[in-house]
Amino acid sequence: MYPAPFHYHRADSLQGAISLLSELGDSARALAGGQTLIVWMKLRFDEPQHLVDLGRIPDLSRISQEGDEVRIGALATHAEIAGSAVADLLPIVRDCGSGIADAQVRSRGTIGGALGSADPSCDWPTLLHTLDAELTCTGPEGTRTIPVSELVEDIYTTILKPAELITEIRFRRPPANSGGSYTAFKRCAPAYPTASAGVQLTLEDGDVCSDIRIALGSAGLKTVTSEEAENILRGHALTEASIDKAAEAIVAAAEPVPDQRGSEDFKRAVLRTLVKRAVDIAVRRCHGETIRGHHEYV
Amino acid sequence: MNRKSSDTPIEKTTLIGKRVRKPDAPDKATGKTRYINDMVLPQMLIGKILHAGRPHAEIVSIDVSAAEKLPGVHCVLTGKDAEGLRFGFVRDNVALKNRVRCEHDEIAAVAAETEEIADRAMALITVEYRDLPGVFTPEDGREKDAPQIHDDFPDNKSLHFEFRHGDLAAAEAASEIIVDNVFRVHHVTHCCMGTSCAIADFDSNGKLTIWSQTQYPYNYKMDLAPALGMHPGDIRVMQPPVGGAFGSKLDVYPYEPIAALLAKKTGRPVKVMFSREEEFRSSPTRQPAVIHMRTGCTRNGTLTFRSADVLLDNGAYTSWGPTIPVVMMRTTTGHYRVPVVHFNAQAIYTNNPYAGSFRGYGNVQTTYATAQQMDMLAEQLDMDPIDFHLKNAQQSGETTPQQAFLRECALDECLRTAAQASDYSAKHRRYTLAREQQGRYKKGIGLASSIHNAGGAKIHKSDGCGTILKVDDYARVTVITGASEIGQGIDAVINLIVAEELGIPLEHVTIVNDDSDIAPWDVGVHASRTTFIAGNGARRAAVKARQQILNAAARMTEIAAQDLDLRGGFVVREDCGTKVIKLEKLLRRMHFQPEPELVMVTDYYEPNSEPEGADHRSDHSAAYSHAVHVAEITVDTHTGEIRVDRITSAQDVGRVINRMGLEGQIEGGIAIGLGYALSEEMQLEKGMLKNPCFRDYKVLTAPEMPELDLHFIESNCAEGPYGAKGASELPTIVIAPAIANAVYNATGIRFFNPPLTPEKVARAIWDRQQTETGPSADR
Ligand SMILES: Cc1cc2nc3c(=O)[nH]c(=O)nc-3n(C[C@H](O)[C@H](O)[C@H](O)COP(=O)(O)OP(=O)(O)OC[C@H]3O[C@@H](n4cnc5c(N)ncnc54)[C@H](O)[C@@H]3O)c2cc1C
Repeated sequence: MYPAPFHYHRADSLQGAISLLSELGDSARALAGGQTLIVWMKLRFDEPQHLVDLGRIPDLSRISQEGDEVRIGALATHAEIAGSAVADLLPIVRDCGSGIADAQVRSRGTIGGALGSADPSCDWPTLLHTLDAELTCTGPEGTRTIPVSELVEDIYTTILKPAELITEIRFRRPPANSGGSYTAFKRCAPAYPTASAGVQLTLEDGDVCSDIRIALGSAGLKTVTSEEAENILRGHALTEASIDKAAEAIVAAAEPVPDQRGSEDFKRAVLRTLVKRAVDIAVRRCHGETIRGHHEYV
Repeated sequence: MNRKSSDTPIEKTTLIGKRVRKPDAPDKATGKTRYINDMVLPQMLIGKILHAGRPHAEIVSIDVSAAEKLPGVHCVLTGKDAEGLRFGFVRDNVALKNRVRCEHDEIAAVAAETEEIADRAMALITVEYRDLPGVFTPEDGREKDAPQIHDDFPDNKSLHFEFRHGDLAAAEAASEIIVDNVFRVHHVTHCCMGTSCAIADFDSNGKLTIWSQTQYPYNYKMDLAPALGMHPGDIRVMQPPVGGAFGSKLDVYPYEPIAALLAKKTGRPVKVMFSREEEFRSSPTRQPAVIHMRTGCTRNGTLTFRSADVLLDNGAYTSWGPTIPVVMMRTTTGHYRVPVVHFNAQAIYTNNPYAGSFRGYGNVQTTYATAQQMDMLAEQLDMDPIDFHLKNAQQSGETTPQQAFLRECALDECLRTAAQASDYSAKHRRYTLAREQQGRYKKGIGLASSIHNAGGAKIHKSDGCGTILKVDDYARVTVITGASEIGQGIDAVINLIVAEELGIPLEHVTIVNDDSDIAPWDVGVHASRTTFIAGNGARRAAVKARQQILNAAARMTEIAAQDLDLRGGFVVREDCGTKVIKLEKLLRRMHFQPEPELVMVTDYYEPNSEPEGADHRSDHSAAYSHAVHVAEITVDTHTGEIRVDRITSAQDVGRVINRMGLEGQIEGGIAIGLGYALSEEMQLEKGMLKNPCFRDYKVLTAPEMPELDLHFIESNCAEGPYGAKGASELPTIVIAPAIANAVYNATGIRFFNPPLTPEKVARAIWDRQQTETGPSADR
């Protein structure tokens, strides 16, 4: 399995990449870690004639916290993020980054590529929904900010304009009384998830849930969220029954596609379980417990 | 005598049972090893194969003219270039086909300057097919009007095996409890990290040199020759390092004669190497089977009979895979003291990928059935399974119905050790009770055991191995052995044995076993035989060399040979270890004395066993051994996930030789067995593989390995080297039924069809919740 022949270009700057991409037009793709794009090319899902490598653009992989804002450069790799100070602070970020595939993929693949591929099996987009992240995007027409929830139009399709690139991911650091958990169900460690769930919630006095975000991955053609599910829990003390009900509501909104990873009803059962697992871990983290998050696999 | 060296005496020590690293380990760990896949020869061309990509079809026409014209293409071969060159166990295969019988059938082959050119040439070949209805299960293959796959094998019947011992009807009548189940075991494949590869080159005299991954170089020549119309004597087999074999290289597969045919036609060396996808689609599989097994016992727990009716999915051609019933038969007939046994196996041609041999060789499949039926009987008897096993366990000196003489039998000790170390009985009772209670996570413990040949298997006229051992004038030793190294660690075993006998450092031994023109004959790496057979050969050769050296030393020093020993590179006094002469000095003296003497000895070791024979009644191995595994698991009843918490293994290994190598073999065997039990499965849809990549074919990886508690039982086999028995297949054999028994213990559900994927387990649990009728079975 080899990709069809293509031309390789290396961009030295963001502007250089953007002008090259607009010049080359439709037949060009931005190349980040290549862990999705090269695979697609090998499988002939995609046959670009030009690749513009973003890998040497300086400063696009910086991970920082300024005040209560967290910023992650689009070229930051899964491994870099999972090993960063941000991951020390927010265990949900470590859950996600350290559970992706294997060491090779984690040290090549980037968060920008995971977003740019608009693949609903990718972990970062699901996680970033629970953190209400915003994306800074730069293209020939300038820079704009897009909420992560608006990035994906359909499976494998983003709303990005031609030659527009994601440069940075930004989100607000959740308050101290907030806890998060990201968990994925896998058939084995280096596999895409069968299903995944992220939960970020904030508990006030008396364990009243003042805020919650839930997102599901590999649960349909796009990341799945559900206001209905969140409303069931928001403003109330969490009970087993309400968590069950919320899980039921968001799973009802999911449209998992049957494939080799599982049939539809099995995936629903797994999603239900993952939501409950993630809520449980998030609550315990709110209470100050240290829990090593892990992707579940057998 | 050398006065400069220290005069401290050298104590007697032993290497046997120590942890010794494989000689090739540093190179492998640092990426220095040049595998066959890395090899490049001057002038070498790249060969590529066009596979049919459909399961059953006639070829209406094939046009290779455009491919031939492509610059850089040296030749294109098709079915007509291999016509009449039949090969294979029953001569039903050819390297290039005129008709399609399975998805990966080889239709054309190209040799070109580069891989890219070869690929482009392949795309230029046009083939018109007429698809035929296919046969995709052995049951369908048996139907009266089933499509016929081979003209000369009527009713799609491949090999048939039968064994009867005792009066089955009478034994059934005398049984108070009978269990009767159908087990259906699936297609898996070896997943070698090094994909299949062969490099072929002819010299001007017509002699073929083939660089191969084979694990049986000598019979390989015999099997390859007819595919090329050659005499086996004109083939030289080279064996560079390989990235795994596990049985998959115990036959000739079409890519090998294709490499040779391309080399012959072009006059250039040709390399054929599979991509990962090709490897999944075109390499052999473990034989899938439908096993109808019945086992009976009396109320007091004495086994009365066992019968097995086995239907095997042969696939499109007959490789060694369909001979696995020879081994299946042994588990069925020899696993515990069963007085009456009937075994019947029929292999049926289908349009599926075809089966080869795979670590465990049939025993994996039947033990999945026998070990679960032992568990079922114990439950019906309301007996602790361990007591039931112990009651029926054979003892040393017993003979199985097939005439396997269990000289040193340690089944009892294996059972007791594994049960004790895992606290089996108490946990089994506790988890059985907990099954009825509420709760999402259920714990289970399961025990399984099996028997396997452990001193070779005389399926050929000889089961021997040749050894040549020479000691040079620096006391460096070269061992030229017939035994192949495919990663299993025979090099370390031979290294250790020779260093032990000659009292020299491990690093002073070199092993040569990669050239069939140099190394003497051997049957091959299979049947857990190599440590036993080649180990014995190496020991006998080393003992001969040692005797020659000690005799020479005795002549020179006038100390009797039996009062001398070899230690630490010196000839020493046996009693006190005082140095007499440095070994290398002695060797030089031997070389350069008036009547010069070289230390170079040969040995041909033939184990004390009987040929398998047509009626399958023979003591066909020089030793037999048992293993018991206890699996402890947790089932998540919501998602069907099975987490394997711990495996306790007790195995009769005779005697530990290289402890590190043995641990590696047992751990690796368990890993393969766990994949078979839990996640690995070739998903075939009408003969077409749906998951030809690691993304979709799930091999377990390091993070999924459970905690292992390994116990080596040393029964001291009289015939084995230092008492050792073969060990490498049993761990793969017993693990899946141990898991299945544990899942039953946890959930009350029996799984007859591995792998036990989360979805399968979850579904069975949901179905049971729906019917609420207690223990049930999966579908
Ligand atoms: C064996 C394997 C297992 C995997 N398992 C998982 C898993 O479990 N979970 C998971 O999340 N992922 C998994 N992945 C995918 C991996 O995480 C990828 O790294 C990631 O999805 C894409 O990142 P990349 O940098 O490799 O992007 P690339 O492959 O280089 O690009 C992907 C797409 O995004 C576009 N793109 C790249 N960068 C940008 C940008 N800055 N702005 C706009 N568009 C951009 C590209 O043009 C391309 O269309 C797996 C991959 C492999 C090979």
